[in-house]
Amino acid sequence: MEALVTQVVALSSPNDLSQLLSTLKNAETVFTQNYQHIAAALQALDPAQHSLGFAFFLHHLAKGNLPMPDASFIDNASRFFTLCNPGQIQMIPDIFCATAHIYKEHLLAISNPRRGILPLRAGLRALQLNPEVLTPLHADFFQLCLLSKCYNAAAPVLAEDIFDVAPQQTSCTPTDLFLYCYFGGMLCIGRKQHARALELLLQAITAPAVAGNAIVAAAYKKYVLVCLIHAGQLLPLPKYTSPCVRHVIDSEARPYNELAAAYVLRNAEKLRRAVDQHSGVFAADNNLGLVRQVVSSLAVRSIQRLTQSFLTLSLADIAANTGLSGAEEAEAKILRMVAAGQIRAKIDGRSGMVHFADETRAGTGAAASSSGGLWDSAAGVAALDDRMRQVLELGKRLQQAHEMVSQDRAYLSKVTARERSKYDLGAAAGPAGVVGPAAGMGGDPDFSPFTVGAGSNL
Amino acid sequence: MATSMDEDAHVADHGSFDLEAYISNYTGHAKIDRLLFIAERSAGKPLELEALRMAHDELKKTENTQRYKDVVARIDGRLGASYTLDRVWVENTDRRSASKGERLESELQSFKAAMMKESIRMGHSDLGDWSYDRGDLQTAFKCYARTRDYCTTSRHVVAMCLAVIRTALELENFVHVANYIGKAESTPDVTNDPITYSKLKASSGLHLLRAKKFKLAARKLCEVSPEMGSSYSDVIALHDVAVYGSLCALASLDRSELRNKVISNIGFREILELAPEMRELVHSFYNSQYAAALRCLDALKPSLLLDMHLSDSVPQLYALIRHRALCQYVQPFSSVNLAAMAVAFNTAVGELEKQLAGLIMDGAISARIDSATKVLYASKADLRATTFAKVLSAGEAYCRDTRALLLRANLVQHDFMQSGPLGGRSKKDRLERSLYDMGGLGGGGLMYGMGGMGLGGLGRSMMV
Repeated sequence: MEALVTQVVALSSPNDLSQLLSTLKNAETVFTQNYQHIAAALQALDPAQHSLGFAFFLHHLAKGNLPMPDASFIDNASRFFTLCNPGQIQMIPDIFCATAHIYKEHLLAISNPRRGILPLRAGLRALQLNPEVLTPLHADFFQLCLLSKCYNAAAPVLAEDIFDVAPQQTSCTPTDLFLYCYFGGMLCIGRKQHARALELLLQAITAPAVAGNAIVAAAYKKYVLVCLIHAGQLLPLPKYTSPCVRHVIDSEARPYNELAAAYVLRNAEKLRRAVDQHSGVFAADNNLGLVRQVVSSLAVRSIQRLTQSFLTLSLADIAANTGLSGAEEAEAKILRMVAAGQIRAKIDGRSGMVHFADETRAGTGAAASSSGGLWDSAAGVAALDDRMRQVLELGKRLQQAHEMVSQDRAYLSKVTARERSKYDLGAAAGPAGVVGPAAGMGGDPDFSPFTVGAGSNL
Repeated sequence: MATSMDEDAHVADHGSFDLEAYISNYTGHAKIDRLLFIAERSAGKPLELEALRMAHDELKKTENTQRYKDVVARIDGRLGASYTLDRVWVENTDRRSASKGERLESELQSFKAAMMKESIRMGHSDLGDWSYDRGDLQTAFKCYARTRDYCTTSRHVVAMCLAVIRTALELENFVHVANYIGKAESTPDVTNDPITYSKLKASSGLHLLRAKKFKLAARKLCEVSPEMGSSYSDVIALHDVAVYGSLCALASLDRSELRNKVISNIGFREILELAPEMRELVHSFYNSQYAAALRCLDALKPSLLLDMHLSDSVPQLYALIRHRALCQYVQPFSSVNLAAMAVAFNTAVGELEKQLAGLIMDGAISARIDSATKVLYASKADLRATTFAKVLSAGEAYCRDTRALLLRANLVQHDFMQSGPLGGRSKKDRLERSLYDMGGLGGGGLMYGMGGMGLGGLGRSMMV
């Protein structure tokens, strides 16, 4: 064991890392035999300089029969994740991720998820080649944030878009992607960023899949509810959703679709009935809170529509139109909406009339200029400019990706094979057709020059 | 006002509905159908017996014993002894028809053996006529359709089409009606004969009315020329064309079209003369005298409900006309006093406000109501702001979709899919994966391989 430690210390400079890696990999038996000494040996190593070795030691310590929870392990791991060296870590993604998983379980066991947030965030950054790559740590990190209710800690990570999963570099699996999308969606819902939540949940649902998945089903259920709150109706799933996902959704999420149908009818009574009918299902899925939000959003939406048709309306009429129980409830609702900035209105207490602020009418000269004022200012133009730049960048990126695929050797060979088979009179088409998918399956070696190129370009 | 619509003085009941005058416009099957429909709709009232009596008399002149028996059963002895089942007549008629039918059949067989095309056609046609008279509409339809193969001149084709259309309208098989109208209209020379042309247009209008496509029905019906006269009275009377046409036009055409097609249209104007109350209605509507127009409509309602083709659509048409009236009333003003409007439309202010609110929410009127002072203010849409908003949201949507696309492309490229329960090697998994096989998607790489993200023009226009 001492020999191993000295080797680690000695070989921890950047040139010798590969040698160190092979040494450590071959030292499995040493680790299992001297299990009791690993903890002690860890003290001798420095997480920042000897990240590679430290990770191996930590990993083997965790893999063994470590009583859960172990305070010293948690301390060591926290230090490690916060201080680890990205260059060394990126050579051993699988070990790193496995360690992170176990670390998370320990934290959950002692019911202190908060502790792990900052370390995992640092670890996440270390493993990422660039901010657009997904790692398994994302899922763990989000889970800890959710359990500790520190939604804002996840904000910077949430704001980044993921464009790349690099399975070799980060040992990511499809489950990690689904968990990332699902937990990320829940975090956004918690922060009331419904648009971003929809985006993430939709990614989970439309990810290419060949088999049904419980995470995707749960993501769909939340997607339905957030869609109703945000957009007022259930947007149809895009056509590139895979058929097995649709199948899973039909079989498992029927109560949610019914709820969506009731919502679209804009009838508060029907909605309440639908909710009561399926309240068992909603409770089992832990979605009752969201469902209640959906119900209240219906009333909000009805009142918002009223503002578009009326300049003033009595409280009694508002209550009648939106299915609320009476003028007092309508008044309370409107006060809340005004406070939340969802409508602009003034209540005249004497007459019980509500004046809705007119946002579109150019009443006086001053109002006329102010209505166009939003887009006349430098800030407005700057916002527009910014958005256009984003769009152009994304467009350029898409074009790059398109070109790279078109030039890829594997792709070109497949296309020419298919073209050739089209001109052969059917005889060659059979084998060529079978060859196609099989070649696609074993496609990893073909694609590797592409992915390295993609990693460096994007 | 014409005698047949003279029920202003009477509320609710169509007691003074002048059946004789109404029904004199029709002949043949149309007459019987309409009488029976009226009888059905006015069950329990004296009108029912009147209608049944006339139907009975009419049926005795035809060979349709089956229907005769039905009518007698419905009369149920209420009209006295002379209106009970006349078995002798039934037997005689049946025997006569049967022998005629056999004769026609045998003649047809001989013609077929002799391969004389024209005679075969006539034979089928006669057989069709015979079935039609007997009331066996399905067989009639089949026979007429069979003549198609033997038609030589366009006149034959047109005759055949008209016969089929008539039968299909009775059968209420509107798909065939549309087909054969199309066939007839594409026959050469058909436009030269105004009567036939009008017949086709009228049938077309009728079937569109039943399909609730009021705008198209209005357009077709307005093209009917008055020369058709009563030549098509076994299907539809010119008076009906006026009624259906003007109602559909009011419900669905905007003002300029209304003026062109209905008011300035000489042919249709002549037809409207036959239904002066409709002419009053159209003119008062066009001249924005909505109170008078709506009163006319209410007066007409009972008799329209007795009309076979129109009764289903009456509520819808009325609602459409009323909405159109409301929208037109509000259009020229920047602010409207709801009390004055209520007087003009002869409704209560609260009711009017609700209807207007409904129209605003549907987007038919762009205005806002001040419920405190009961005034409607027209609102000008700020085009500039909406354009900016639209542009931003389009950009937003594009960014979102592209980001998702890039991620998904990456997933497919890395074959990043969760395998099924049996591992990734099962046949089902392999088939599913082959769907994602990028090479197999016929050229174009990323852009087309993703199944056309619908970025389309936006995406390409952004590709500098």
